[in-house]
Amino acid sequence: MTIRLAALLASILLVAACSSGGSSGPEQPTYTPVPDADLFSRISALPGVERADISFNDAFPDTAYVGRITFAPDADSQTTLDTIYAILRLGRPGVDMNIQAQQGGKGVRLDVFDGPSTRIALEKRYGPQPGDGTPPGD
Amino acid sequence: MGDDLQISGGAGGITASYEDMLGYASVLDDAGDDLRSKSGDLAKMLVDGDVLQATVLCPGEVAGVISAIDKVATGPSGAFWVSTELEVTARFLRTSVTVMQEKDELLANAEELAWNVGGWVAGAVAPVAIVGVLAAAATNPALLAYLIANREDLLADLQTTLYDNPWMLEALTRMAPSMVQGLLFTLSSLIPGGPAALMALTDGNWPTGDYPSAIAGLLALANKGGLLNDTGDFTVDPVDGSEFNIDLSSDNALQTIFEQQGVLGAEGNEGQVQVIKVDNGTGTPSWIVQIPGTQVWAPTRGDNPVDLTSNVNLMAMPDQTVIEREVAEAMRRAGIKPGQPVMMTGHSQGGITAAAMASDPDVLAEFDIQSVVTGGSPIGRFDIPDDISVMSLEHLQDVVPKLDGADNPDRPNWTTVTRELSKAEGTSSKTGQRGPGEAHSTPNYATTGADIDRSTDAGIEQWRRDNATFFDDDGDQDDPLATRYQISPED
Repeated sequence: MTIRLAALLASILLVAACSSGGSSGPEQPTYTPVPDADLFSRISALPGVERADISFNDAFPDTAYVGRITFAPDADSQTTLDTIYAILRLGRPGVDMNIQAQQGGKGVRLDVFDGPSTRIALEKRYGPQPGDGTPPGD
Repeated sequence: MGDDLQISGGAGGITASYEDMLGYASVLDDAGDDLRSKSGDLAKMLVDGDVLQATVLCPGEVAGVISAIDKVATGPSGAFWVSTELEVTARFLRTSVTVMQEKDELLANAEELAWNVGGWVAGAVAPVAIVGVLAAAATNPALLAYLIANREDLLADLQTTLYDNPWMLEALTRMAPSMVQGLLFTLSSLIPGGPAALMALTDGNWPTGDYPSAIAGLLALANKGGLLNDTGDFTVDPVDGSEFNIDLSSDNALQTIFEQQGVLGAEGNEGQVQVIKVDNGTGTPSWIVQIPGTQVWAPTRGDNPVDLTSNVNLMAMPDQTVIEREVAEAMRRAGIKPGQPVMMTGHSQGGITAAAMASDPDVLAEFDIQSVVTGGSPIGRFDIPDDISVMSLEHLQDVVPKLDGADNPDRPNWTTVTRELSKAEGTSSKTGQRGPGEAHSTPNYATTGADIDRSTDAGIEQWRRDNATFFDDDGDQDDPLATRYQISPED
């Protein structure tokens, strides 16, 4: 009976939470994030970037910078991709990133990640936000 | 994080173990038959003409031989008795499997009954409880003021509590179909006709303890209010300039699949399906069809059928839904031919659509769907044929895959991998609070995919071998090419 009552109460509150978004207000960053448009312009202007389609996705349940990058055949894709992540770290705090890249008929991954570029993996690689927009030296 | 994976079903699952036991029983049975036959052959030697002739010439020696043959054929450790023991053991194994299977089924039925009763009672008393809470608040202004002032913090705490106690999510989802019915039948006493009217409005589906009937009743009720009608005419066209090469090998398959699901489902890509062509050097391409999760939460159909209406209609398992029809059209536009291997993948609703299509004989008559991969999708009640490989990723704190109120089937070709997320993974960057919503995100599913990609579990390795045709492991040619297809309302 205790379990049923707890579940009942939880269900009522869950419905209420969903209707309100369940938010206690946005977390305030400890820095001023660079606007998304500025970030995306900087990325498009990087040497070797032929095409960059990046956006901020806030559609439930994801909160992430997502997009696709096409590199020129002679670009240093690893270094440039590393820089792209570092630039995006200047933006919104604590979000995941899902940046797909291709070069000359091949998909490109940033080799330093041992898995997807979640905010936990990003923190490990680039340190606390915002950083200075450049990748750490290896 | 790989140690956090709980793997059920698949090559190492209970059903596979039962099948192994039945296999061993057959081996024992065959060995018993063989041994009994040999025992008969030995017995025949005792009355063989040559042996009888030899008895005249050297009776002492032949008596020894006959005694030895008799001992081997019918003695206490002889072929006859051993064959009997083997056959009895085989029968015991078969009976044990049958008893265990029946016990599993009885327990599952008893559990479902308990959830139904609990849910019904909770739903039935909910209106009374709500009235009681409201009355208490109305007579206690200080309590009311506290609740209002701290509403958002209380709700955030609730979400954290649910995240930290996944059993509450399990209990809620198991009871939900009966809870809704109990609630509405109590409230129906306020409408003309009472409970009988409610029964009629649900097309006679309610009251029921059967999940598909519960959803069908809910759908009938909503349809009568002009909601959740799965209608509309759509067209499907390739998205110009959407072709993109993807690094997709057996080493990163599940990570890549859910990274792609994340980009596909992002704002700006509404109503799109992605088809990946994998040229694995055999001359026959393989295909991966990717379907996004719910993008529209309004209860009425608009321009995008990746919506709430599709969710409920897919779970009601009626005839083919609009979204299934349009995904099939995207597959035709991509040039997928009969006999070419197809893997269907999806996150959330996308996984439900994938499972629905893999269960649809009409779709299977046209496309050779060999594999389904889902993340955060409630697909346990879909009747996917046994010869289709299924890989289901679920998070312990994600409520969505629990919404069918059923465990995924435990069968050799259906692997379910469940991971318990860390507190950091469940924390929202927007609110700083933990909650079940974060547990449903595609980055978290991509992380789980990466963990599985690294796993050396025998069942996972079997899945990798079974699905090798969908991965590009040679690296000599261009990587698999993804193309997007846009579902749009017909003009």
